[in-house]
Amino acid sequence: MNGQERDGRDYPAASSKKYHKSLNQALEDSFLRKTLDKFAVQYRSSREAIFSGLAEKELIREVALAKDGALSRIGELYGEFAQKAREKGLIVHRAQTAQEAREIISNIARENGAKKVIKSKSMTAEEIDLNRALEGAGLEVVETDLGEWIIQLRDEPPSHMVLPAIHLSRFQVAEEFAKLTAGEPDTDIGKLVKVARRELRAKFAEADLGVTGANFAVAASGAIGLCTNEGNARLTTNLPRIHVALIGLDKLVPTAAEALSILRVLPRNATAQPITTYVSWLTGIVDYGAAADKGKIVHAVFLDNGRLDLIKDPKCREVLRCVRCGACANVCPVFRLVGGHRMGYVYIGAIGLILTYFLHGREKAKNLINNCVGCEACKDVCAAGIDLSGIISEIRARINEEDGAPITSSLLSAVMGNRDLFHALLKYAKYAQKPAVTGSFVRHLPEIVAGSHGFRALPAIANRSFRETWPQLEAQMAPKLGQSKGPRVAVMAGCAHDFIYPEQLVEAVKLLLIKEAKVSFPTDQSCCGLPLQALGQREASLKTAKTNLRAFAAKDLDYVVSLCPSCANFMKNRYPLLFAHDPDLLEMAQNLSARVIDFSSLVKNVLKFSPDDFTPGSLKVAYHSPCHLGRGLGVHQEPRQLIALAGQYLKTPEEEVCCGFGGSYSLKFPEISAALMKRKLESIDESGAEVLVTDCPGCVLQLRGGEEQRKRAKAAAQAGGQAKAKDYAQEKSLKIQHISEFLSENIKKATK
Amino acid sequence: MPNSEGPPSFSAVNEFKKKAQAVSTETVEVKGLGGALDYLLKVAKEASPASLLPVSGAEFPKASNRAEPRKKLIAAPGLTDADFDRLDKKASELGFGLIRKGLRDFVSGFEVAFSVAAFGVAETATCVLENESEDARLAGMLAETHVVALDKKRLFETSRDALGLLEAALNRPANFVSFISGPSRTSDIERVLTLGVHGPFHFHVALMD
Ligand code: SF4
Ligand code: SF4
Repeated sequence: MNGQERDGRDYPAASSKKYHKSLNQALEDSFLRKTLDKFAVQYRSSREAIFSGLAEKELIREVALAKDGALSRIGELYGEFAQKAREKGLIVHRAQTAQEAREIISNIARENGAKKVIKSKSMTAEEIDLNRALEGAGLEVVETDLGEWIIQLRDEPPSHMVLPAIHLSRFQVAEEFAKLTAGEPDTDIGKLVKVARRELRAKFAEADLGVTGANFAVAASGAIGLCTNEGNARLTTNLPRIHVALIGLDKLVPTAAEALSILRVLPRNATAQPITTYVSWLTGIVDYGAAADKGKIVHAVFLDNGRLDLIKDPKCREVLRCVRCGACANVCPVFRLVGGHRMGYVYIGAIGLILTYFLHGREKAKNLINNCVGCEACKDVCAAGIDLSGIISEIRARINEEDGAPITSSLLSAVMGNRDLFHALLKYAKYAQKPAVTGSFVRHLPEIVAGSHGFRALPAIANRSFRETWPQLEAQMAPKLGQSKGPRVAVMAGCAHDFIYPEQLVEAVKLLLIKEAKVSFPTDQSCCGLPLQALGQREASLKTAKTNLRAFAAKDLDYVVSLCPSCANFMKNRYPLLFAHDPDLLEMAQNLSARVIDFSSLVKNVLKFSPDDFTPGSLKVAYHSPCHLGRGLGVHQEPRQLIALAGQYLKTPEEEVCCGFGGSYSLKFPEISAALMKRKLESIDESGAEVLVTDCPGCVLQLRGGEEQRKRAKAAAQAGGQAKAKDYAQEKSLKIQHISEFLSENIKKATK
Repeated sequence: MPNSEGPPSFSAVNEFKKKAQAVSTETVEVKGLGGALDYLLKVAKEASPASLLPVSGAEFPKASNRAEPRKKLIAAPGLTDADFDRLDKKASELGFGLIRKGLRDFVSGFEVAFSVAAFGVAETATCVLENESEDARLAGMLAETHVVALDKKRLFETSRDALGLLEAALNRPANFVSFISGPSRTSDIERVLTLGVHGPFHFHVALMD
């Protein structure tokens, strides 16, 4: 796109300052918030229903395989399609760039003397900004998908790939339609749809050129497949004499079989329908009745626009599997808060962040790409099994390498990449924070970090880190450890537990000892490397990861447990990928990966704690599922079963929705992090739970910090201004615990 | 084609009917094409008059005359001459107009279209139409109500079971193959489901023995 703005429209993520301003506006848009909240909740349940009884992951794997197969021989498939389609009378073009595609289509219109163009929805046409080019060539262009037409009338880009006008209310639509019908705005949705039917039918009848995209281009037969619910693509391809299909090269499939595999997942994932109302398959030149002497003309314009380069990129090529179902936006907690206009340049949601970089360039992507909390909800539902969240962090690393990293993240990475320096600094911080600490929180933040970051109280750094506590703990345990026959378990502390919440780790170790685990703590371990990766600091991340490969290399370990699922997930699922290039390190990484286990699974499945071990408390306990435990490690049942063993588990509706922490994300996008946290705490309030248990120190930090801040705000409101620490200490509040603390608290006395 | 020779699969028929309900498709079981055409006439009787959309150059609005009430129209382009004539007789007795050609002139819309499906898929309550001729294609797009006759012996459990038929259809020199699973629909305004955007408001399938 050569960096020019589309239609002269504003791009919210053009600069960091502008982006934050726009995000704040979105957060205050109550219609948008309500609409997207409702959508997120309904989508989740209807998707679950439509996949019930089907082997969802298997179907997704089939799509991935079909797409990978096609991508691996895309040139050949293009040749086959072109030959078949030409034999049947189509005119086939291949455009290397967006500019070329625009010129080809403008020329087709000019050569045939076309004046009026109708379009059925095509994201590829949005990608090349086709409307502007055609209008520039003097053509009238009318979108016929209802949502797309509405936003065309308002001169806005789509805010969702499947539901382009989801950000608008019926009142806004009525207002727009009233301008056309010169009547009173009628806000009845049925009537609004009829207005579209009437107005657009006339456009269909007059048009001489119809533009569509394609969901499939079938090489074996030179046929294209189009999915719609409204039926507009049917009229678009049939009423005008000329049909132009604009097709991304990634839409090629070898045969109809692959198309049918995709068709089993695409509508289910997009709108929770078993199939779209219409799937139209077009091949050859069908008869055209309006003028016997002038037959139908069909052009297929294939678009490269960076796709072939992307195929050569082994880490990211799977992006091209995307079938544009939109699900990665539907489940994204950030999309849910701020909507699609702030989640992509043309394509929207997780895939939008990614494609903005690959198709529209680094400048457009560099602010956008950071607006991902890393919850992996997108990856979990992707119709094509794309590792979306992984690719987002890969792109961050590339942008850092290409552009130079921001000074703050480089500093941080220099510190965290050097274990001794990092630990020395933390020790220093512990003393430096002294005057500002109240209980376990920092009382007030220095001016520079306060401001929009004041949404949650920050935890104080612990007086004694876990690594400082360990020698004493080990000495106490020595007699018991000596004779224990249980599994050999090494503890991976992780930064948060080591330096902020060592007490959670101490409770965990006590629990492990009850079941006679042989616990060890290799002291030369380091940060897992995930925070560095999230900042796009690839080198530093590799360095700390390597340190850990050595620290946990002991052959006799049965398990390496981490109480932080982000560490566990990173070590288990990412380490082997990080070292794929080095056979020796890869072997070490695979060995470690096989041993890594999360705390809840260790306690429930290996150490087999049972009802006999607990005296269940009487409080109602809600659960928050950390993203990297549930979706990352696929652990869903164990923590819930443990809570039920040791207390009164109360199921709440949004257990699996991100709390907004996301490590450094919460520092970069405090406004969104705060909104996610607030929603989380409110949903717990609504449930009536008295305790909230989770199994991640990051979530504890976020939620306790948020709860503390709510308490302070309440006390301040009551005191009519600044409340003193002793005032808000009195406020009743939700108890938030790591599962190790919760289990330890409810363990039977005799067992202890 | 598992059922083309043997008896129709009842489980597939039931599955089709069940899935049809979920997508607002009306189903009925009938005896052969005759039964389907009788059902078509019944649907036409109950259909409300089409609201004609203002389209410049279209034939029908010009022909319609206020003094003489406009007849309800049925388009049935796919029928053989003999079937068409038989239907035409019955239709005119009931006061309906029957058309089979020049559908492009009726782009303002009309009441009912009739098609015969090439095959069907139970899992998604889908009728598959193969129409190379423009009149056959347009009929189901322009009418407010679409009635499709589907031979039970050509009903498959899943789309994959019919892959061979789909591939054969796409291998023809020219073809327009439509999977239709219900009336035209949109959820583009406030995600409220609304039937009948650009295509039919009503979709009926007559399952033929
Ligand atoms: S990882 Fe989570 S926040 Fe990031 S794009 Fe995916 S769904 Fe959105
Ligand atoms: S990336 Fe996956 S979930 Fe997102 S639109 Fe593409 S196929 Fe759908």
